[in-house]
Amino acid sequence: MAQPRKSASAAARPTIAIDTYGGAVAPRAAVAAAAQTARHAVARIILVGDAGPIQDQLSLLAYDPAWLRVVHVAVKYPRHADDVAAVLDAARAALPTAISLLRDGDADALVTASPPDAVRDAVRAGLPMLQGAHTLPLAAVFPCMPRPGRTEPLALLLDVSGARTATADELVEFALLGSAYARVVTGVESPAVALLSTGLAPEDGPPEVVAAHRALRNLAGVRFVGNLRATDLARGQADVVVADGLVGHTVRGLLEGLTTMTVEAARYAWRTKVAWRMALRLLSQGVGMLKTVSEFQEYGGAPLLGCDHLVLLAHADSAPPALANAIKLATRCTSRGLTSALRSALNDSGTPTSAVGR
Amino acid sequence: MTAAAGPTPDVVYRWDLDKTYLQTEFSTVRGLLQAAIEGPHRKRAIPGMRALLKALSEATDARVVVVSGSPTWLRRRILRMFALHTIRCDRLVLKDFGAQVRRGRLRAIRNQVGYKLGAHLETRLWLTARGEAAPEVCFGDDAEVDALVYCLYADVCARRVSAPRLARVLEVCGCYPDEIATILGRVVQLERHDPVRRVFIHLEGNSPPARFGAYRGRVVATFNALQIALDLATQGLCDDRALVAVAEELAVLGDFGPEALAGSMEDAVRRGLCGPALACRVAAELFPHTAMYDAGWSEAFGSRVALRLERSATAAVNPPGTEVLPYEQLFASEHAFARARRLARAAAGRIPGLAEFLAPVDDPWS
Repeated sequence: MAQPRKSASAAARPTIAIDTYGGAVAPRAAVAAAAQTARHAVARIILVGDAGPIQDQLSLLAYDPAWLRVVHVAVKYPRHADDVAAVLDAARAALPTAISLLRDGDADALVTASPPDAVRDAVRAGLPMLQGAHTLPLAAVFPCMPRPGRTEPLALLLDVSGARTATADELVEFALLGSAYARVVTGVESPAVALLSTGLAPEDGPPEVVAAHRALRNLAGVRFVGNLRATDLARGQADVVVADGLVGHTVRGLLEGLTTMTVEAARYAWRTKVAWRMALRLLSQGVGMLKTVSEFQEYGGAPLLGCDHLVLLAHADSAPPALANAIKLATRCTSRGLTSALRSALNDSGTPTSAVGR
Repeated sequence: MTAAAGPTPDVVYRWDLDKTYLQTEFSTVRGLLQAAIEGPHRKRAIPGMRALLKALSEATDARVVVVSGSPTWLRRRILRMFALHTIRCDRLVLKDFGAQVRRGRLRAIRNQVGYKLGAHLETRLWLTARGEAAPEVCFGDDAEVDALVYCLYADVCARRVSAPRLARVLEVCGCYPDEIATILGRVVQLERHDPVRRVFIHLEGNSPPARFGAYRGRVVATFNALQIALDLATQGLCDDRALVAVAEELAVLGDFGPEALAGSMEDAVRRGLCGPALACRVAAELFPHTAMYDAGWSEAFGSRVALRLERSATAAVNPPGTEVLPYEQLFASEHAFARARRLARAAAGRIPGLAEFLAPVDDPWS
């Protein structure tokens, strides 16, 4: 018997699994984002979650079932999003199903807004690591000054998982992964990579940062531009900034906090004085741009690098637009072959241990 | 009248034309002009609908009645199109725009409720005169007020709506007094009968299915012809040959891959349009042994889809209620929905970001 003909549309579009237990109001945010994306046939979507509530939400939206699938998980949604323990329990119970879709080849990428710790645990348990990778760094984008040749005023910071401090080998591994990711997603041929440290000199910073600096300087395949201080982060001197999990997490939290504080200050000014309100009106375009560039909603998600499949983590409070952007980012990463790019980056440069030893 | 009397039918299929059967673009002047001037061979059916209507019309114990808001001067072209599509149309009713213009009744040109209800009643009388009081299955779309008209038609035939109430509803819907009088006259001639078994509304205009929740289970919102065929198969009105023909047309003309068809079937099961048993049989036993195999539906794929369908949660479908619907409110909400959609389209170019939201997003694959 002849082999069945493959449909062009089915072959061309990637399949993105979405964990519906994360996001602003589970499963509403994830379902709304999925419905919008599926309607525009950007990617084939698999919603992972309790099929009953998912269908209830879908019925309220315009969607296209030809691009949408629901994989039922018999786990109830937490009643309150701020019930941390319940959210974590639901995520831990549901994530293995979503992960199995990646492992079995039913999905090309996973988008989740569940707690990062639960995601990392599920990924560790269910997916193979990239050959040569030893950790699962979490990346995040942050706003910075625009640079010539770059389309967006953004840079990548990793690791932001808050997990623990990193060794020199791991920092080198982060640099390799971050550089490959930036190359694939932004299209910049040779992204500038910097180490976050206490000073600009090679010997500044803790011993592991100094050792990583030495290794990165001699490492082929990474355009290392040296150290970067926290004060220089927003100046846009690097496309990729490498830090250990604890520092990266703190920096990202600080940046988010500053954004919130700025918006709150503007709101306070708007309420307090008519003159300030008028001034804000005059500055409204600039304030809007600042808000746009600094809000996590705009970027959607950040990848969990180091595993052999694409997993994108969105912010826990992600609204539908943020999750829709995460789906688009996952589609772009898949179409541009991110996983194989990461694999080659690690293989071509040798193991980080050998790099540090040189 | 387009058909001679034949054997008494078991079922009457009542179809709308534009956006239910034909791909017609009414929201632009270009689309309107194109619909008016294009030849019968250029008219394109919505993928799957041609195969579905052809299969339904080929049954000798069925009648096909088409009531459309297209102008009467398109009659020959539409009949020619049906002939080209090898579809038997037993009766075709079109809107007499010329008569409305001559009488200066511009409101009647846009108003569909009075025209369509009158036409449905008139065709019902035609069927009754031939002794064909068969149950009916109705097909419409979400672009206009088809759901409301079909439900009102069902209630009027079953005498669930009294004459004074009907007059009030038609007045709210913007009908002229003589139009109301004609409709009431036709109602008097009708025998009391509850003919409408099912109303399918094709979601052509990106409406959410819940938009039709207000019709209390009387309306079945469907995304494509395969979902209609599965529902009809559940009622025993559609056979395996028709299911395969519809799926094949969707695959060839609609670019529906196997996953897209499987997704539609899963959605139909989740929303209670058909039971998992029927869907599983179609997926695992029927499609792999037909032309669908060439479209990528292998036995292995069919077994996987059947497994997925078994796991799909089935919605508990409440039987449709028999109480009279609040037609005045329904008309107001349909009107508001259409207006909001028009405004959103018009404003799309003026509000930053709205165009991107309404229009398809950038295709990262291009």
